Amino acid sequence: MSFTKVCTLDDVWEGEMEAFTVNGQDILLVCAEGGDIKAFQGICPHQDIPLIEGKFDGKKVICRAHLWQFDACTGKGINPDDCALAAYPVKIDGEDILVETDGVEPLFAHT
Amino acid sequence: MSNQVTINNRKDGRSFVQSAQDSILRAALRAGVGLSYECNSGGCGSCKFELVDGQIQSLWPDAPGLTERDKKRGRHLACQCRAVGDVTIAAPSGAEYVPRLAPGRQAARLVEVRDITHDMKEFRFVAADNANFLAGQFAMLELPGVTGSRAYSMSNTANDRREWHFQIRRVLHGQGTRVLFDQLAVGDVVELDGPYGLAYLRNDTPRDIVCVAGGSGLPPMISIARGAAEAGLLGERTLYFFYGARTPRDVCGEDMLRELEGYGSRIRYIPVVSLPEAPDSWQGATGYVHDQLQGVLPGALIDYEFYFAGPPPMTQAVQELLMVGHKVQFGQIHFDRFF
Repeated sequence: MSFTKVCTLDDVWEGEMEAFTVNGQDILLVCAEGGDIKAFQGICPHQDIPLIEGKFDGKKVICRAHLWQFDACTGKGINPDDCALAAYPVKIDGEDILVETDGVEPLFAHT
Repeated sequence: MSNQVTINNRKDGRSFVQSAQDSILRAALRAGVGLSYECNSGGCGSCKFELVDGQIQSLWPDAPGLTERDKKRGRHLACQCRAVGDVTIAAPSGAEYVPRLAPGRQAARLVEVRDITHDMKEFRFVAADNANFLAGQFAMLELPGVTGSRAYSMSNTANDRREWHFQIRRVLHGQGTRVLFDQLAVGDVVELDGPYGLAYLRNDTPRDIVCVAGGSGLPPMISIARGAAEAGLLGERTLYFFYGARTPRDVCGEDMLRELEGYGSRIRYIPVVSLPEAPDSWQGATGYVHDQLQGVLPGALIDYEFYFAGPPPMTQAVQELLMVGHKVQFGQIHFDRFF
């Protein structure tokens, strides 16, 4: 059980997403409208496409390849809705954003 | 060095043999192994893998499907890499990528060329062995003097005459089209490898069919329409065929659909022109083709099976309309991404 510092709050503003590699894992940090910071797998469950290359409209993360959409608060698939992004526990310590990667594996979906 | 090497995929435990002239991806598909892919042309990035052990050779180091970030992270494109000796890779795979018809190489002789528009021609080849492919698929052509193969969609359907028909638009400064349009003569032989592609006609759904073609995206949509008619799908279903053209002289495809049973009733053709030029030169719909879908289709978009092909701005707009705007199920949307 250990959290790793990823960046500071100044690196991910509300409505933004950023990609990081934490302990060898691709992680996407998103700050949804309202200011909640979440950490999800950085790669779309469909094909090996980094989600950072897609769009984030403040509510959903949209993969650039086939426009798969994920809820930025829960990681749940919106369309298609039978898939999800794996979420990593996040801790805020002062200005620092920390993420725990132990025991979280990226999810993959087949069409 | 032996001609054949073995590729092991650590992700799914499968292994397959690659012959000297094949890429890792083509070797997998030939062996019936469903590595994730889409364009087979270095553009889409769907076939990215990690090299775990062994040596590979890149056929196109600057392929646009691989970003700088991918390169830093040691990713490669299976469609643009060849194994040099046995290798172990980690590559995503899935049942949806397993080819229903294994691709094969064969010689193909050009037998006929006909004009479609001022800058589009149909090239008909007769292959040495077969013309087995699914409606909507594409093949790779090895053209003399052109580095790398080119993907072109077939406009016809599988047949016993071993005919593969390609409708190709001349690309300014395009190496492939220059050879096809200016150098290749009837009687010349090229190498054809196929079929490839996942955006083929599905005949197990009862929904009405919508084909959206833009510019050079005509042939796979014509193939889908022909395939649907031949398979008897249009007895109960209607097929809406949208064609987006720049100017009135770019409009095409209607003559091909007119030959199909049900044209005018079960098959509807809706041409859309984005640059009508003179006001009286065009009586049909104007604007972008994706903007016509909602007005023309009688039902809600979620009730149709969609096929589309065309330039990136069009396919992107259609995807956004369907996937984001109307939440059409991803399984009802069929297209091969080439970028």
